[in-house]
Amino acid sequence: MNVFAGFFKNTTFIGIMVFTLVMQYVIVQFGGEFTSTTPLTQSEWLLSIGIGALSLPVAVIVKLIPTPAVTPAPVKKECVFPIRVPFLLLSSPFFPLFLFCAGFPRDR
Amino acid sequence: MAVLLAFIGSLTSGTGESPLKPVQLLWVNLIMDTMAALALATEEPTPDLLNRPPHGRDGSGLITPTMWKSVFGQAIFQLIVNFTLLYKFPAMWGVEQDGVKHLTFFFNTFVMCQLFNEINARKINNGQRPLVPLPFESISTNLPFQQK
Repeated sequence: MNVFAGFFKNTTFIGIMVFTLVMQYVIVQFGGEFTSTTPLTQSEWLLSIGIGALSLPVAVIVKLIPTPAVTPAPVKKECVFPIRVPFLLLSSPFFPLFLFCAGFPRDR
Repeated sequence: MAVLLAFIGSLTSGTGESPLKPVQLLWVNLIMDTMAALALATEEPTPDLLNRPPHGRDGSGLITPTMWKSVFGQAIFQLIVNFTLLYKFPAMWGVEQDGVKHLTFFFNTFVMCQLFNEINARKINNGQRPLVPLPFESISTNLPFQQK
């Protein structure tokens, strides 16, 4: 599956990526003593981004490795209404509440 | 991965300090967890998702072998890249070993790897489907397409 499918439709994703990039730039270029960084030159930035972008082809290669298929979930039968509902009512920890709502402990 | 880097890095560095500084690690933590989760959780569902059947509880957990494969594949790649940068980059690029420039570049590349891997994480290929964008992927089954 294409990792870029619908990429530009998700503005939140793009927004967060851009925000992260901008913040990273600010941290590296202007962080100074606080973030223990020093400004990088343009070629260093490009090299850095290039190495990072290698993750994309690596992911494609990794995805070529076959993995065993997952066992499918067993198909469950539909629950039978007349049996299921009273059972749930009786077994629920709220059973006394149901009784109360039905007006069971009648006072006076 | 960051833990391994910080641990082995600080053991082997001359100054005895972690190559990733605390403030940098906080930032890495922020983008890897909070930001990435926010970005990936807002992904629109695609019709493609319906081709993925639910899988059983026995045998395969919540994280499928395919996901483990992706996680470890990226981790191994990033470990190779980062350790190469940590030990071989200064000689190649002509900067001081464990100097501010070296470690800044190291930190920056680490973050870039995370950013691009965030794009990778958008789709998990289950091994049965084509993985590169195939324009003719379902042309044989796409009836409306054939009728036109």
